[in-house]
Amino acid sequence: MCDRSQSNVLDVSETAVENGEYLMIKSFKTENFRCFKKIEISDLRRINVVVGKNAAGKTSLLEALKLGLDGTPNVVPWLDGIRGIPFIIPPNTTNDQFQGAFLDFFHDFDSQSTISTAATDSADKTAHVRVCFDPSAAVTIQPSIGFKVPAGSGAITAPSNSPATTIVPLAFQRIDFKGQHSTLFVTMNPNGQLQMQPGKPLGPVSGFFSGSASGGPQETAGWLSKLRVEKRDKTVVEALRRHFPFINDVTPETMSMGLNMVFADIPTLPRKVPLSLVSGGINRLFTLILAAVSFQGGVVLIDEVETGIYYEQYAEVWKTLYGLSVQCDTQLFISSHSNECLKAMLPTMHEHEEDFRLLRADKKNGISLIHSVDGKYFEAGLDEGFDHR
Amino acid sequence: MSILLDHVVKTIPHPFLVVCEGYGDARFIVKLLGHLKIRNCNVGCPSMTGGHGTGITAIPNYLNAVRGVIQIGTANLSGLLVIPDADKHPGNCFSDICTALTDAMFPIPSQPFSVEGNPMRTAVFIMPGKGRTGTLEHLLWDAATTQNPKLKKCVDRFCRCTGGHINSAPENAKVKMKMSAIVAAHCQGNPWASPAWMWSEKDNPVPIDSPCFKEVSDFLTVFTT
Repeated sequence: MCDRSQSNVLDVSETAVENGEYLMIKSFKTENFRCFKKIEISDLRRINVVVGKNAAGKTSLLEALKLGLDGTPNVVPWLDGIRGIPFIIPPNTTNDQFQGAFLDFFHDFDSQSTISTAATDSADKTAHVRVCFDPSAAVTIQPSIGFKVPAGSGAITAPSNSPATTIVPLAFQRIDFKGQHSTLFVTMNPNGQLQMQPGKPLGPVSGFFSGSASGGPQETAGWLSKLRVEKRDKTVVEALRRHFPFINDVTPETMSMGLNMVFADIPTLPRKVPLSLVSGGINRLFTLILAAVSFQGGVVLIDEVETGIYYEQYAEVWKTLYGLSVQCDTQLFISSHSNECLKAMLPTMHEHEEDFRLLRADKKNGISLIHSVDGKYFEAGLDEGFDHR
Repeated sequence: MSILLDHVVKTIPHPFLVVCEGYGDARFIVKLLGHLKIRNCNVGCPSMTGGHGTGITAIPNYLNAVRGVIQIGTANLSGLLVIPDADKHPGNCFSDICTALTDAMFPIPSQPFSVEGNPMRTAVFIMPGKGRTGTLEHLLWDAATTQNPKLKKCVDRFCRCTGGHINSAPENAKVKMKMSAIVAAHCQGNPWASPAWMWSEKDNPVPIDSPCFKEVSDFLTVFTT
């Protein structure tokens, strides 16, 4: 599921199309994020396939990429959301409660550490994100009065019936691909309300699709509308029709209450129907196709690609996603649990193995790490019946 | 010892790996390793269902697959032995294997029948042995006829009178036919048994402890020690 903030990032960053050259993320490292103390992966390709056992760090890797390419505070509740973790910070919260809402992002729940990411593109430019609690930006909340006094400033707070609370904000210190620095905070405002500073993603743009949820109806309809305006929707429709020829067309339609949804035109039916009503799996595949086209020049992160898709479609799904990745210069990170799904990649990989890379999340002695395999060795292993999961 | 011949191979558990051209060769090496009580060795061969088939032309893909397993972190190899068939040209065979080893980022030995390299050792043993042309079946034929010298004359006569193309067939095909004939004749419980499958048949005509296997046995011992 993607939040609405992603609708704002559909414009391809200037970096991604600089000099008309396709720039992809070539290497990535992160420290102190979720299960990762420190990982570094290099030689990333157009299609990066992520495998590994449960709890090995597949989803965390995709999340780290999302954090590293977006770099805005909005990522935090969004990532919690796809994990099914409610992100709740009540008004007039204590500092412990405030920090507690973010602890699961820190390796070993250590709020004293700093999460860092560094994504380097094919032009050798690097975007950095450092996420830490920043005492120098602490704010003191006086609940009944609502004064804000910088900590250590010596300022006198107004008298109050309840004790003042000092909140140490969560800082997102960012350096984008052009070397520009900025810091965004998650903090509490003087009224004791949560405040997340908005900001532009560092780029390239990134979408994230988890196995349990595929884009919200409003947002996918919005993406399709945008593509229609740009006359690029045909690519999506044609790709979908290659899989499901019984669907004539898909269009964004406005329903009652002004809500938008994607509808399918099926010749045998007297009226258009919501695509999600046709099939959850078709709707998910449509969303992935839509993302690969919409996030042109950017990165799409897909968790558990096989979810909801009939096994006979696997080979065609790989062909479609790879084709769109080439056509739209979209870099894909795709996780899978299914050996059947992985083996179905073979026809697509054949003669394009340099465009593929396998990343295997693993845990050894309690330490999470990522093994990286060249496309040609990955392809040979699939062909010879080796199980890479 | 572990046989990497399952439908899906998840890992290469032992420090040494022997790569053969096909299933028949791999089954022989597995039997021999068992006889030699060598237990730290995997044996594998290209998949019959893979896009590259079996035989020496499939070995480059198999070695690439092994490299992938090493990169993925599920193998920690100390040694890699490739056992191709010499056929008519042992020299070409060695150079083809060296090219494949290099492509898969393995070190190459300076010559066949030599175990070289540290910490990762590689070697190429060309069947049926030093200074010979042919295939594994030549070795098996030697072993069967050494144990039972009457077999040679009998099977040669069978070849002459059975008709078909056997008399005009290349030498490698001839010996495979002869082996198939004697295996089928000996394995009462399974007349369909072939040299690849005869090792599980109690009446198989090839003794695994034959002196004909000394060269390859000694080499396997050196390689895995």
